[in-house]
Amino acid sequence: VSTDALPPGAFSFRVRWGAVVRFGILAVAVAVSVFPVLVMIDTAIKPSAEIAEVQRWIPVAPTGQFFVHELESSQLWLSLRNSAIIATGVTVLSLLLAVPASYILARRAFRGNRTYLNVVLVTQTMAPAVLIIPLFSLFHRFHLLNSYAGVILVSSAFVLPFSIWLLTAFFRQVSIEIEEAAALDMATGLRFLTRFMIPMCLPGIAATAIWQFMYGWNEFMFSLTFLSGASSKWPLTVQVYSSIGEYSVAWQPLMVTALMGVIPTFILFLALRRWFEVGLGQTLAS
Amino acid sequence: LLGIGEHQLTTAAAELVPQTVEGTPARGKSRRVYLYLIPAAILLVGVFAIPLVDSVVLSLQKSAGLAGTSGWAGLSNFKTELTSAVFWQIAWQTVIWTVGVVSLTTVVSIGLASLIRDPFRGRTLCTALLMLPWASSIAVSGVVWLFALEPNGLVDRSLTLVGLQKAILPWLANTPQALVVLILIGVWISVPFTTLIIAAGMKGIPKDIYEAASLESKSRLHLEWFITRPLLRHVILVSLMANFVVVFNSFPLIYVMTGGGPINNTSILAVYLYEQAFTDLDFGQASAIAVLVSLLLVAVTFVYVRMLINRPSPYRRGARVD
Repeated sequence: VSTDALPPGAFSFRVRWGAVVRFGILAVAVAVSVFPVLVMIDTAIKPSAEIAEVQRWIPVAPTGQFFVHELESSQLWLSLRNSAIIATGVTVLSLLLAVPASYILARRAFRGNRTYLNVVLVTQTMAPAVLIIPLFSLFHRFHLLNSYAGVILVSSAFVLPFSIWLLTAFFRQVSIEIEEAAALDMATGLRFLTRFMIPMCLPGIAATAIWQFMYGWNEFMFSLTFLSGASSKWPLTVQVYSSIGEYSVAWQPLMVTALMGVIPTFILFLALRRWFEVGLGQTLAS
Repeated sequence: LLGIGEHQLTTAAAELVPQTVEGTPARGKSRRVYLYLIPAAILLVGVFAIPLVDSVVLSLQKSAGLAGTSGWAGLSNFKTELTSAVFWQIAWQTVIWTVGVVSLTTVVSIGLASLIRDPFRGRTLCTALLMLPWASSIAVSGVVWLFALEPNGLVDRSLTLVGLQKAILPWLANTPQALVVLILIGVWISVPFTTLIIAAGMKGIPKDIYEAASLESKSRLHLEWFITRPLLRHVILVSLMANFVVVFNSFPLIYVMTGGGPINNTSILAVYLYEQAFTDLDFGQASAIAVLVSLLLVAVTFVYVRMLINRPSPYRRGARVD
């Protein structure tokens, strides 16, 4: 059926119908996506009596007391601090290792270039749960259990492969003429990397760093295992998990804590989004 | 200039300048390139290679409590696992979990990516909110879902509000719905990143292909099926592999929400081997499972890489539009 034969109204009706379907599907998808955050906010403002019985979405007597109380508790700030230490450690260590490696992989053809990238990719298929048993024994021997260092080392190794792939894609975008021109100023190798390459690729490096930070912030299994004997070093994830093991769970403080855990990573994600999409496009194209 | 003659400078520069043919990486002349690679390599060897070897050694030993062993066990740990009904039950559940999460994730993500690909009002906000599950920690989300799924909790309440109160079940207490619920939450976790990858892939498809095709084509779905799908095959293969590995290995969600229960009915190999190691303190037995899991992953990766090599990216081959 050719659209010419239809009256003009029919066509525009069809177009709008498509928009309605799209809007409907997206509305459901967004609702499902934000569901747990709604649950966090909703539960955090409910008095205990309203959680015990059949729950309703709109609290009858909303209260801010749990927010106030929890934001004054040293426990929350301690776990936020621990998460920040681990996440920062992961970001710094993995950037220090990934940036030079990616620069060389993007810029120099040497024996083993391709092999290095492929081996890096293969490590990505290894199960954290598989490695955690020998790592536990290894850390036991080297006194790395119950220390931030152990968690940071292992987490960094797990973010390294994807970081290297992402950064290599960013570094490849810088034209080789710039490097040739810089070489006339004696800016080669490490000097070129720090004085030209890093400033030029700052958006890409920032995107990688934010992704690494998010990984460190949200990491759970290594902290749970390697910090099991040091509750004062637990990050927010382990803190939240450990509080559901208690005899009667205090849900409102838990939800406030959970919310405080989501907010920083979501803000970081918003900052990273555009560059992340660009980086992904580059990696996929290569 | 620091007493360096011009001639010296140019020869130095000539030596150091990467000699290239347009855009290709230069050939590193010195061994110095390896200095850039070694630090990262040391960490990767320390965290991946050495423990992997340790894992094999541990799997051949008898376990005696925390991080201790009492002599060689030969292949008996493997024999115990491979003849145990629980192992095969959990292996089967791992297959259901992985295939369920990965396939549903892929289908949902393709749909969502095509919906958010073209501009519309509120697209930025919409995309940001869709990414929320990815920005939050799996462990924390798991705890919140656990609370929401309690009897008379907010999931039940929401279903009542849309008139589906008949569908309410004891979500996590019984099989088989417990595993189904976990799979759906697994999809909830994996969709955002997959959508991002597929949307990035869709962006790479040149617009004029659609324009040319829409001159003679019938419907939007027709265009998607005959143009987007074949051109996206490479991207979808990448996302399938990435999701396969992550989902197969995933630990936090199931560990937090059910711990593999009720009675191992929602367990997968990653959770099972973790509990063998850190709850039952049997490192030898757990390492045997770990070795079996690694072998399986290596096999799948091998097959996948062969597939990718045999079917190169459509961009390189030149897009064929029938």
